[in-house]
Order: sequence, then C-alpha cells, then structure tokens
Amino acid sequence: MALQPLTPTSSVQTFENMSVLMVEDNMGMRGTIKAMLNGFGITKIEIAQRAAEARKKIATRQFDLVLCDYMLDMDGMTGQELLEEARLTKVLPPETIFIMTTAERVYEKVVAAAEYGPDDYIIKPFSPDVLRMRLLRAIERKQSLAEVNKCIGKRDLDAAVGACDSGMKQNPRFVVDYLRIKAEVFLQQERNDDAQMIYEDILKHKAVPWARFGMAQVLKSTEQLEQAEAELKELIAENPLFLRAYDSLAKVQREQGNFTEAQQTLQKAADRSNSIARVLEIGELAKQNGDLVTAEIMLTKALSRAGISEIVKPSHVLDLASVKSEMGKDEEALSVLVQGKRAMPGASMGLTATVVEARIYAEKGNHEHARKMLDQALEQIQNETMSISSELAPEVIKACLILDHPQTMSLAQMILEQHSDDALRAIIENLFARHGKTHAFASASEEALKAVTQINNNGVQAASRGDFITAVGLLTDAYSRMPGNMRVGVNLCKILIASLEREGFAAQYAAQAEEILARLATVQDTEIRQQVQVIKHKLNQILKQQGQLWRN
Amino acid sequence: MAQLMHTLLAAAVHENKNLMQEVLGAIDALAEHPEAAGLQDEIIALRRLAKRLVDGSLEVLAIYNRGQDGDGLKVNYNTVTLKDFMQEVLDETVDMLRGRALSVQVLMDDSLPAYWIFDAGLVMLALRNGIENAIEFAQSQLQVICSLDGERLCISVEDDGLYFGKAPPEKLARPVATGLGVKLADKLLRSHHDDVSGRWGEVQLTASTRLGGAAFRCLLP
Repeated sequence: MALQPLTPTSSVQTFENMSVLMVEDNMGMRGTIKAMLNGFGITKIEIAQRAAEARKKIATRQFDLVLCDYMLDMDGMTGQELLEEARLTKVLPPETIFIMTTAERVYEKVVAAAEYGPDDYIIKPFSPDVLRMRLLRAIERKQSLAEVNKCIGKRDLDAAVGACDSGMKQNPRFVVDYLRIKAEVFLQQERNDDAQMIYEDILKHKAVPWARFGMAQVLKSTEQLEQAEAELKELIAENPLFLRAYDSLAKVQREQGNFTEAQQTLQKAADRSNSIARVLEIGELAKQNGDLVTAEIMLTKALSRAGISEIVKPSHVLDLASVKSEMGKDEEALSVLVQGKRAMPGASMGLTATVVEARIYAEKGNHEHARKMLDQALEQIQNETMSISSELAPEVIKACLILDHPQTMSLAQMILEQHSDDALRAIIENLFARHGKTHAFASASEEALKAVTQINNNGVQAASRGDFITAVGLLTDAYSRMPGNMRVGVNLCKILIASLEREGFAAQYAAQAEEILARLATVQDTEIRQQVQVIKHKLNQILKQQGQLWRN
Repeated sequence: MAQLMHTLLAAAVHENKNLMQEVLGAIDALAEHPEAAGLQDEIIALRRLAKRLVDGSLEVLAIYNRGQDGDGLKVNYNTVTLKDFMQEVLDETVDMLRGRALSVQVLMDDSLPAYWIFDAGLVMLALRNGIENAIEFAQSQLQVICSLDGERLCISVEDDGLYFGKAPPEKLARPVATGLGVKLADKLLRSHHDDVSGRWGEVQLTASTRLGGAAFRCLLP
C-alpha cells in the first residue's frame, strides 16, 4: 500500500468568458449568486425568474452554464422538469453545463435516478468556493466525457465503448460515469451479456438502483418481460422517486398488452413529476383505454405548452380534439383546433385541423362546409404529397364515409398501402362496416394488398435472379413511399441481408438494414417482431465477420 | 403523539435553517461592504459558525426525511468513485480552513478499488463532523486518509491536537466519543450494512498514530 496525496482543486482559475443563465425565482438568492459569479469574473449573466422564461432563453441562444433552482414555480415546473424537457427536445446543447441548486436534500434521490440528470447539483446555501469547485468539477467531467458523448452522438457505439475504456484509465475520477455509459451502450448494441456482467458486478455487493434498473433493461431486452416487470416494481417500491423505472415499467406493461396498468403506472410517476412527455403519454394511453376524462385532462394540460414545447405535436391536438368530440364537446374540439393552428403554424397542423374540422361538421350534418374542408385537405395531400399519419387516417376516412366522397376508396387503399398496422386496419374496417360498406373495404384492402404484393414480388423476383441492385432499388423506393408499411420494410431488410450474404459485404447495405431494423424495433406485431429478431441476428453475424458490431 | 412531536421539531429545525440561510446571505453582503475591509477575519469566523448551524440543521433534516421513507434510516446506496469523493472532501476542507493557520492533506491508498458502494450524502455528513472536530483541536495540520481496513473502507480524519484521551489538564481534555456529533455520525455509518459479509459501518474515535491527536475513523462495509 502506498498513500498518494490529492491536490486541491485550483482556486485561481477564472471563468471570464463564460455565459451564464441563472434560473432563480428568489430575488435575494439571485443577488447572492450574481455576486458570486461576478467574483469569478463572469459578467455575461442572463436571468430567468420562471421556467417558461428560461425555456425561451435556452431555445434562442447557447449558454456555457445554466445555474437552475430546483423548486422553480411552486405551482408549475421544477428545474428537473425544465432540464428533462430541454434535453428531450435537444434545445440544450450537450456542451452546456447544467447545475441544479436546491435547498431540498430529497433532490439527491431525484437526481440519482434521473434519465436526464444535471451535470451536478449544489445544496443551498453554498459559498462562492463551493460553487467554484463544483463548476470546475463539472467542466472537468464534461471534458472527460466529451469523447464518449461525441461517439454516441455520431452513433459510433463501438468507438464509444473504446472511449469509455480509455476514459476509465485516464480519468479515474469519473469511473462510475464511464461504467454506466458503457453498460447503456452495450444495451443499445444488444450486447446483453456484456451489459449484464457490468450490472451483476455491482449488484453482487449491493442493490444499487441504477444497476437494478439496468438489469431490468437486460431482462426486457431478452424478452423476459414478467421478470423485468417484477424487478421494476420492486425497484419503484424501494425508490419511489426513480421516475425512469415507472416509464420503463409502463413500456413493459404495454408490451404485455396491459394498457390500463401502464396508464396507472405512468399516473403514479406524473403525481411526482409534471414531465410533459409523460403527461402526453398518459393522455394517449387513456384515450386508447377509453378513459376519456383522464385523456381530456392530460392532453389539455400538455397542450397548454403547444408552440412552447417541441414535444407537443399536431397529432396531440388531433388526440384532444377527437377526445372532446367523442365526449360530445364538438365546439370545444373546434376551438382546440383553432388554438393548435395558432400555436403551431405549419402544413402538418393545417392538414390535421382541416381533416378534423371536416369530420366534425360532417357528423353535425353540415355537409356543405364539411365537403369544402375535406376537398381542401385532399388537395393538400395530393399537391404537397403529404402522407396521412395513422392517427389522422381514421378521421379522414370517417369524413369521407359520411359525405360519401368519391375518393373514399382510393384514399382507403392508399392508407392501407402506406400502413401495415393491423390495429389501424381493424379501425378502418370497422368504420366501413358501420356505413354498411364491408364489401367496399374488402375491395380496397384487396387492391392495397395486390399493390404491395406486386412490389414485393417484383423485388423478390429480381433478387432470385441475383439482380440485387434492382431488387433493393424497387423496395427502397416502395419503402420511402410507405414508411408505415412494416412488411415492406422487413422484405427490404431480407433482400439486403441476402445480398450481403451472397454478393459480399457492402457497408451501405448493412447501414440501410440497420437503420430499418432500428425503426422496426418498437413494432408490437409479434410475427414482425420475430422476423426482425431473425434478421437482426443474421446481420449481427455478418457484421461480426467484418470485425464490426451493431451500431444502432 | 411521538410522530407529531418529531414533525414539530423538524419544522422548527427547518425554520431555523431558513433563517440562518438568510443570516449567511446577510454576512456575505456585509463582507462586500467597504467598511468591513478591516473585519474580514471576524466575518470569516462568523460565517463559519453560521454555516455550521445550517449544515447541522441540514443533517438533522436529512435524517428526519429519510426516516419518513419507512422504518428507520433509509440508506441510498450508490456507486461512489472514491477519487471524486475524496477530492470533494479535500476541497470542502480547504474551504473550511480558510482563514485558519492549519493545513490539510488528503491521502489515498493506491491499491483501493475505483469505487465503493455507500450513501455519499450520509457519509459526507458524518465526515464533516469529524473534520469540524479536527479543525477545532488541531495545532497545525489535518490528514484525511482513505484506505482499506480489512475488508472495510476506512476514511480516517486525523489531527495533531493535544491531549486526546488524556485526563489532565482538565480544561483542555478532549472528549472521547461522547459528543453528540460523533454519536450522530456513528448512527449514519451504522445504517450501512453488507448482507454478504454481515459487516456494519461505524465510527471509531481513537488516537492518531500518524499525527498524535485524534483519529475519527469512518469504516464502511
């Protein structure tokens, strides 16, 4: 044993060129912190007193440091929620250092389990020296992890693992950070055994929450959903502030088809944090579960941030409008659309609003106005070659059926070609049936199937001739036109793999297959999921032979 | 009734902490005043006392809050990078020593593992206690040594103070593990337990073989 002395963190370094955003609602505290920052030579200081103001400032310019109070608005948002939203919407650049200040020791628990944690947090009150030390530490940590984060940003996950290994040796001060990131990268690469080894190494000593959470992800990734659920439930029982665990548990419950339980799980998390992403997810789940009252409350809450938060999309306006409609509140639904258009001007919101308005007026019996709106929407779809999202599809079909629009069949066929989603197909089939047009649906469905089958067949035939270039070209074109059609995606992947196996390795094909498989990763359809697993396995073997690993 | 009493006491401590935070702010503002230029030493001493009151209140509140989670003190185990933790100990101690003619050295055994699993918040609270005591009694220097003691991690705060554990002279005799702070620190450490080895954490107050004063040894399973 040899004792090595540590050197105190330098107190001579100044930060003159740093730009700082201070988010603090207490006037006295603002003065104190500003004096401290001035003492470090920092003069470029902007102040936000409330979360909304901070959000705007972060979105419009880049700061070197955000110093944010945890308890921001007593009735609104915490600093942690502000941070989560800023990271989720990518308005906070990775280079910006985010330090939370808090008088609440309970924040230790929040931060330990947060998916989007700050670079550091300081318990109030703190002296200028403490702030300076934490700032220096945060800068050092940011610099140490920069290479790893750069690799992850480029999605070069092998390089990220390498950077973690060398980082652990060069900067032992941040060894746990490297270890956690490395395990998460392994999970992304589906190197579940490697990730499991890291987690188990920790768990053999103590049930450390992040390692338990990681183990649950390994279980989830290896389709051991019941075990993953049990592990996450236990983790939550012991760490009620571990919000990531609730989100993950809800995902597992959704995958198991337990949508009501998933909603309950997320509601428990929302009771502890007003994360806008979570509120939206509850709203969507509640809508799906037929719990219209909750859906209305949650979506209204989320939509109050429309136009302010990037997380809120036109599809959420559509969700709320259709929930209101289902509750018989048509006037409120129309007003939601108007507000949505005002908050999110753009083609997508415009189309959504026009379609929903057409459907509402059609249902109210004002066919003239409804037809005008519907024609306008269809023209927009044709002229701007806009695809119809799976959320908007039932609305447009409903309006078409009520108005007996001449384009109903061609539109239904187009939607069925573009989306291979069985749930959506069932919804559309049901709508046709309600209008006594079961045969018409069958015919549109048959035509769509024929068109897709034709494309697939052409591709497969070309591939079987050994003409992989034509096969890939045909299906790539088809998939770009119908990205919601998972079957086309799967077939394209199969042809890409066949080409890689028979014609030799081509980086471009491997990358294309990887990208499609990553998009198909969240598919619920069991048959497609099984096929995706088989293709993934084959691709992994091909990549391994090339000395490469799964990058996504 | 007992629960109500605990809550009332916690509320009172919370209120005191907030008031003391304001006092701290006022001291900082005062320190900036031109007329206070000649009183910097007194202001630093005053600030240190006020900060100890705040830190003490935070300690009590932390224990109270954790007790709310269930029966007894809830430990938030996490992986703690030892180098990072000890660097924080060093930087905080340097901060606490400002204005005093004392030096501090933090030493780490180079054969230690990179991380240890414990509740960094609780252990830091316990260590602060030891460091504050050491500062009170040290003549010229302090050492904080992080090493292994058997299979436990040992963070030992040592000083070169006089009369540790010795009876006379009466006025200068130092208490041996009778202080409330030491008991509290021991409670914080004893909340750490390793299920596999069956070992507990504890605080031992012994004589320092390195510096001749006291050694406040925090042992972690």
